[in-house]
Amino acid sequence: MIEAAYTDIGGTLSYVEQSGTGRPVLCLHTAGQSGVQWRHTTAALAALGYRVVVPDLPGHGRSEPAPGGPVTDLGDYAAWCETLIGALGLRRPFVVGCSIGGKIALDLAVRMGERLAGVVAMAAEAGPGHIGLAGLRRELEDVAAPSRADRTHLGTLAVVGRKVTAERAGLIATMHRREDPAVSTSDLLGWGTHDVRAGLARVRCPVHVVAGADDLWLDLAAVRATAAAVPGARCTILDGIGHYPMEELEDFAATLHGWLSGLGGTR
Amino acid sequence: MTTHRYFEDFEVGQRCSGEPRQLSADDPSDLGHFGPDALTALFEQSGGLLLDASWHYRAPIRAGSTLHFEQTVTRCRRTRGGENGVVTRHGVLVDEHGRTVREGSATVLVPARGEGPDPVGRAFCTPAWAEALAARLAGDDRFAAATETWDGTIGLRCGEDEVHLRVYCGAVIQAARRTPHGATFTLGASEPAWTELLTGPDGDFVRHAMTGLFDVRGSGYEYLRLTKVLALLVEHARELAAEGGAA
Repeated sequence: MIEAAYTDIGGTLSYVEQSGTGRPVLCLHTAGQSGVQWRHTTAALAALGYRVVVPDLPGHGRSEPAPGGPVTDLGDYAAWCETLIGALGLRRPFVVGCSIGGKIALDLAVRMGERLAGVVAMAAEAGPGHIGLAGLRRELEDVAAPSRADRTHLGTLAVVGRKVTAERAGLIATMHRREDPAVSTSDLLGWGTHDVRAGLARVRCPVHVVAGADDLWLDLAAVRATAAAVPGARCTILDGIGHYPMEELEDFAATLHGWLSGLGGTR
Repeated sequence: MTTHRYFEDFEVGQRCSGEPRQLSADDPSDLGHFGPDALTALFEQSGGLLLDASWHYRAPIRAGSTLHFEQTVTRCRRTRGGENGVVTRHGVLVDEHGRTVREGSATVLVPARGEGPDPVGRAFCTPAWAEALAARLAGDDRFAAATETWDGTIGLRCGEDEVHLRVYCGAVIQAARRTPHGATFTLGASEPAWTELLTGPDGDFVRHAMTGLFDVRGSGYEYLRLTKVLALLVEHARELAAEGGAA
C-alpha cells in the first residue's frame, strides 16, 4: 500500500509517496526523472521494515515547478529535501539517491550529519560531474536541442550496464523519455557544477558510495576518492551495472537493505 | 597473426595478444625492453616489410610490472599494382591493471597471393564500403522513416579515408569520396576506434561516442538530429563487417 500526498514543500506543491512503517528511507531520483524510478523498490523495501519516502523533486513527475523555475543548483534540491524531512517528521532517516540524487544525498550528509542515520550515494561523486556546460546551456534553447527523445533513449541505453537484459534496458530507456527537457538539462547543469568536496571530512553520518563499473557518466577514481574523503565511508563498485542501479539490479530492495544494515546506526 | 604471410591472410579486426612478461623489480635496464626499437620489433615479429611505425607514451612503466602486447589489424589495402598489400596494425602495451602504457601502430608491406577483388565489408569509409552500406540502408524502413524529411550529406572519416553519403528524403542517392556540396557534418575517428566499434564486442554507437573517440566537424545540430540514424548506420556497418565483406 502506497500513500500519496500533495504537500507544499518550499513553495512547491510536491508529490510524495510513502509506504511502510519503521526506519525512514528517503529515496531520490535521477536528473529529469521522477519517483517512478523506485516503483520496483518501494513495496519490497517497506516489507523489510522501512518507512519508504519517495518524492518527486520540484519540476519533476507530479510535483509542480520550483518557484524560481528549473533548478541548476543541486544544493537547492538538498535544502528542499531537508525541509521535506522536517515537514514529514522523519527522525534520523536514511537517504539514498542516484546520479543527481546521489549528489543531493552527499550534500545532505554534509548539511545534516548526525541528524541522518546514513547515506547511500549511488552513481555520484562529490565534485562536479563531467559534462560540457556550454553545450547544456545551448540546449536550454529548444532550437538547439534536436532529436531529444532519440538522444535520451539511446543515451540511457548507452549507460545501462552490460549485465542488464535488453528487455529491461529498453524499459528503462523508454521510461526515461518521460522528461521535461528544460528541467533535465538544468539538472545536468547542476550535475556539472555541484561540489561538496570541501565538506566531506566533517560528515557525521555513515556513508556508502556505490557506482556501476559500466557507468560512462562517472570517473570511478573520483568515486573512490569521494568515499576515501568521508570518515569511515564504504565504497562498492557493481560489476556489469551502469548509471541506474535501482532500475538495473533485480531485487534492488534486498541489496539496499544490506547496504543500509551495513551503515549501522538506526535511531 | 605471426603465421600470416600473404595479404589475403589479414583481415581488419584480427586480434592477437602476446605472452605477459614481468619486468625485473630491481634492474632498471629491463625497461629498455620496451623502448621504441623493441616495440617496433614486436610488430615486426608479425611479418612483412616495415613501412611506417609510431609510438606514443600513455603512462609510466614501473619496474616489476607485468606487461603484455595486444595487436589489432586496422587497415588492409592492396597496392595499386596489385601484387602486394599494405597492412596496418594497432598495438597497445597493457600493464597488470589493464592500463595502456604505450600505444602505437605499424604499417607493413606483404605480398599478395592472388589478384583480388578484395572484400569491402571492413574497408571502412571507402567508396566501395559506402556503396555496400547504402545498399543495406535502402532495405531498411527505419532509415527511410528517420530521414524522410532530411536533405543533407553524412560524412564518415576513418583515419585518412573519408566518404560521403548524400541523403535525400529517405534514401542515400550517392555514396562517393566527395559530393558536390560537401558533408553537412563529418563523423570521424581513428582506424582503431572504427575497428573496435564495427568488429568489437560492443557495437553501441552512442556508448563509443560518449567515450570521446569520435569527433564531429560541420553542423553539430544536424549530427545530433541524426543520432538514431547514425546508430542504425552503425548497426548495418557491423552486419556488413560480419558478413566477411561480400559486396
